[in-house]
Amino acid sequence: MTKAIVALGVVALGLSTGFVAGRARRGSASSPLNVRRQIASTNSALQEARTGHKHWRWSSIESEDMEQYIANLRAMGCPEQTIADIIRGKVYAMYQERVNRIFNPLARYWSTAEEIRAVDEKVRAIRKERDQLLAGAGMEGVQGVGSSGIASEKQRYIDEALTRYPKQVLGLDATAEERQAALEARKARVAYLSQVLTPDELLTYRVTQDGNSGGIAFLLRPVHPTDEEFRAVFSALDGENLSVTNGFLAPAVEAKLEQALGDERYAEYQAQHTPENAAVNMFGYLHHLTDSQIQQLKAVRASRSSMDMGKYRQAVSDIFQNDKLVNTYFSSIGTVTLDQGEGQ
Amino acid sequence: MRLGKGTVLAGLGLVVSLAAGFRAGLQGGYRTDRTAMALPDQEQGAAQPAQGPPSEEVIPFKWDRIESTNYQQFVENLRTVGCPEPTIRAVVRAELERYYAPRFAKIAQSDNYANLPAQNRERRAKRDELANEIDSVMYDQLGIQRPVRSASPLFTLDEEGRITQALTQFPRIRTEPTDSDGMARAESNRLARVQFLSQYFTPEQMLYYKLDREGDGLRIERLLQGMQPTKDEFLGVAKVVESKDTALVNGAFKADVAEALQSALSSDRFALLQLLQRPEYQRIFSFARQYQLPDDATAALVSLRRNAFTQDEAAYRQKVLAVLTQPQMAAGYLNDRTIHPHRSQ
Repeated sequence: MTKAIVALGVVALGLSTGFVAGRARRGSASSPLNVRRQIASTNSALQEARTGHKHWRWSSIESEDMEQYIANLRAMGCPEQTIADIIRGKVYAMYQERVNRIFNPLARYWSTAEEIRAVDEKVRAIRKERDQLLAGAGMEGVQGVGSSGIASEKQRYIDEALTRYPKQVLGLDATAEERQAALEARKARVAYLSQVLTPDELLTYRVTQDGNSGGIAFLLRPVHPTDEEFRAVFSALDGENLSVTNGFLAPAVEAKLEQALGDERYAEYQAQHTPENAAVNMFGYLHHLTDSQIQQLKAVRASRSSMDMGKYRQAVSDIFQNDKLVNTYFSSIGTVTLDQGEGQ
Repeated sequence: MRLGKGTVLAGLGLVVSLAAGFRAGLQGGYRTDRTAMALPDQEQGAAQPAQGPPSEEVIPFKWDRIESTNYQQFVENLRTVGCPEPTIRAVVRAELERYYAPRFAKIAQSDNYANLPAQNRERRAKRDELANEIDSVMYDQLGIQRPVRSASPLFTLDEEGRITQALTQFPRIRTEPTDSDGMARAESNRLARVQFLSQYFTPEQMLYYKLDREGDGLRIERLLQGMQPTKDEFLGVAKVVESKDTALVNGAFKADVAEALQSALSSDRFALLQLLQRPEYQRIFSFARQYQLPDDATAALVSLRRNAFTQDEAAYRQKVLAVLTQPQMAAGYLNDRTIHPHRSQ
């Protein structure tokens, strides 16, 4: 028993002596900065005792050189996903700072189109450099938060397709060749994705990310299409020119729409696109009115001949319950010759 | 000399413990992680690095000492080792967004094509709700600092800090124009932000703030649509109509707005502005918004329309096509009965 106590005592003595010697050696290498930091950190001694981070600082691994920063993080066993988050966060902030330095958001209100384009070009170049830096580090650029409607494990195929066949932003002055190139790139993306996504997923991708669903939805909005109708019309019309002349699409496109909707629904569609209905629909769309409000406006307008101006205005006012919006309704609907001269 | 068993054991213990104690002292001496202590080979390969300042000392350090399944603890650990706040924010936000991703995806999948605008509003509201939830976890529960925009030609970093403070105290409220209570709350917060910032900003900075961050820029842009204003005109008009209701009444400016505009614009320019309120020009602007035409194209259409009836039909059509470039779009434009009431196809 005595021997055991002696042995334990010696072990304890050795441990403490060795520890002090090791500390002394570290201390000799410490800079004044480290000493100050140690003093400053005594206030959180309890926390340090718990976490054991007293001497290690993040700045010892952080680097402006992304490759080095990644290597340092890997060396300390940081998970790859976290490394990606750290690097992406740093790179985005770094490049956003550069964009903010050159981009005056107000200048667009008084600049010429050429001046705006010139700044846009610079911003695009900075963002391209950013994306190349991230791609070079094996990380994708922008990451959404699952808004695509596609299972997350398949999202990487979409990222790949977008990297291989990037989307092209077309200005109004884009040439026919540029438009054709953009169309070809889109076809290539869809063809690539058709190999890995189910037809339904592919349609979802096209509807949510890579098609003219906005234009088609806008066209069909007044007839309230079912999901099935929308998908049928989208399949028929996506990629077509949806310009309207005298209330009609180009004859071939109009025919496709008629076929996709069927006779009865197509007739409803046509009724909703008469100038007066279209104007009220547009107003409702721009001012986020509910369907019920839009229907009420149409009904009030249809029975206008049976009431005087005061009653008519009151009826409109009852629908909105917002005087400012009533004024806007009368002045903007006036611009499409429906209620001109009927305002205040 | 013969040594007793006890003495040998004690000596051996002393050597081993001296070595172990020395190593522990070198490594910081606070480690209680048994796994890490048992894997010296891995540790030797760790943390080579150090591109940091020369005064920094590099000690082998493993990520698992920072890692925690508890976010509060994780953030605390990162702060303890001096991890910059933007890095903490990036890591936590990315993780939370991944965590919330299925819920965001579910929102995107909820199809309601029968009423797309309503669906978009509903989706936006749900996305806002989730985004607010993430923000609440980050900033309220974990106490992570809110991001501050970097300096720009409009505001310094300090000024951006003030703007962030104003937005934190009096957040923006997104609401529908038909929800009068919501609109009142949103307006009240907007006024509070402006009041808060006016303690720190010059009148010129306040004007920039309202134009850039409170939507006034868009309002003035709409007001001066088709004018292609100079910087002085734009800022001058912004200044004089700042607190005025610029909505038109039967296509005309209210008296006080008209007076203010006259004080900021030359008589020629004011006359042009009044002319541009007529239905045919307003319809051109609506057309421009629909097709996202650049300002110079819109101004060219306005200029052509002003002289539309002093030139022959074919020349006019040709010039419109030159501006719009796409034949179908030009045809739609030329056939618009509000823009061209006297022309028919």
